[in-house]
Amino acid sequence: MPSSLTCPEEAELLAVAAGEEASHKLRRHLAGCPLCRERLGKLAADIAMLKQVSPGGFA
Amino acid sequence: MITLQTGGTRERGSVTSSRKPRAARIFFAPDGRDLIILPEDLPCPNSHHWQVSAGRRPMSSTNTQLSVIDGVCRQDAQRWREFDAIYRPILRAFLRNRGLRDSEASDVIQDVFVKLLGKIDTYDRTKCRFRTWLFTIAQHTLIDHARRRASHDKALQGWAAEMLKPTPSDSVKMEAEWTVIHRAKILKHALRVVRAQVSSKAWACFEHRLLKDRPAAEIARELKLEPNAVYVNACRVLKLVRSVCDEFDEDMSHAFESDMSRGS
Repeated sequence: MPSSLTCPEEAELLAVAAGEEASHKLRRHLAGCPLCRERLGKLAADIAMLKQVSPGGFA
Repeated sequence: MITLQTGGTRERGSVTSSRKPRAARIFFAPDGRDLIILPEDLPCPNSHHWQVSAGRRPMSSTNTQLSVIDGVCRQDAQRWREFDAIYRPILRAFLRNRGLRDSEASDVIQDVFVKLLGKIDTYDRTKCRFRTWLFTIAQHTLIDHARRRASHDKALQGWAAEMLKPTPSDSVKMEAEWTVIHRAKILKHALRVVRAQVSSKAWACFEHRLLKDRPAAEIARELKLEPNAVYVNACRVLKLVRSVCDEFDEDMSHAFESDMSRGS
């Protein structure tokens, strides 16, 4: 079971997927919530895909 | 029967679909290069700029916002136009990469669209992605083209043989190439569409943070926002980009993950 029952907002996960350090509370939540780990993985994959297609920005 | 009217000095011809024949109109742009196929019972694109080949029953287009693929299946005129604008360049890039001249690629694209029109009722999204389904049509059309070319020009037999007898690894390579072209084109289209929809500030948050990888704090300072707002804005834009990709049955991150799992 997740340590916190409330799953984080997408923006909070996006920050972590983009490279920001996760708070202690978020790390604890992620450790116990496979759904949020999946959300995080999807966001990371989205970012990787965006960078692959539009490296350095979108002209 | 699908009636082709090519206008000007081009030939007239007809194509018969083996399954659920459906009449269609084909439009050429004034420069004669680009065409769009519409089912017979749909309104034509901008009639001031497009040459209309036929059309008997006027119909109004629906305002229902369908996904592009659903729209094509249901013969939504607006979705057909979007489909043409997106998929023509994808097919052209794929065919040019396979060694076709531009004029040949145009002919093959026309054949692909005619085949697609005849088979669209058979597409079942629960069985495969639209991208894969269209790739199969494109590949078969390319093989048909190679057969015709082989019979007309023996000197090009080497190229034709390669197209007619692809090894399994060739097919995998071709489909992988098709996927890359498709995904990049759809995503770039989605980025263009969404950039026009959102505020410049929201777009700046998305672009500078996720595409240019600039620090959120720096972006926040420039835009006079809280750092958290950078991610809230970027997140909103990302959701819109995903939703446009979904319209084309293209889930960008899942596709990327499957590539990663194959070790590419």
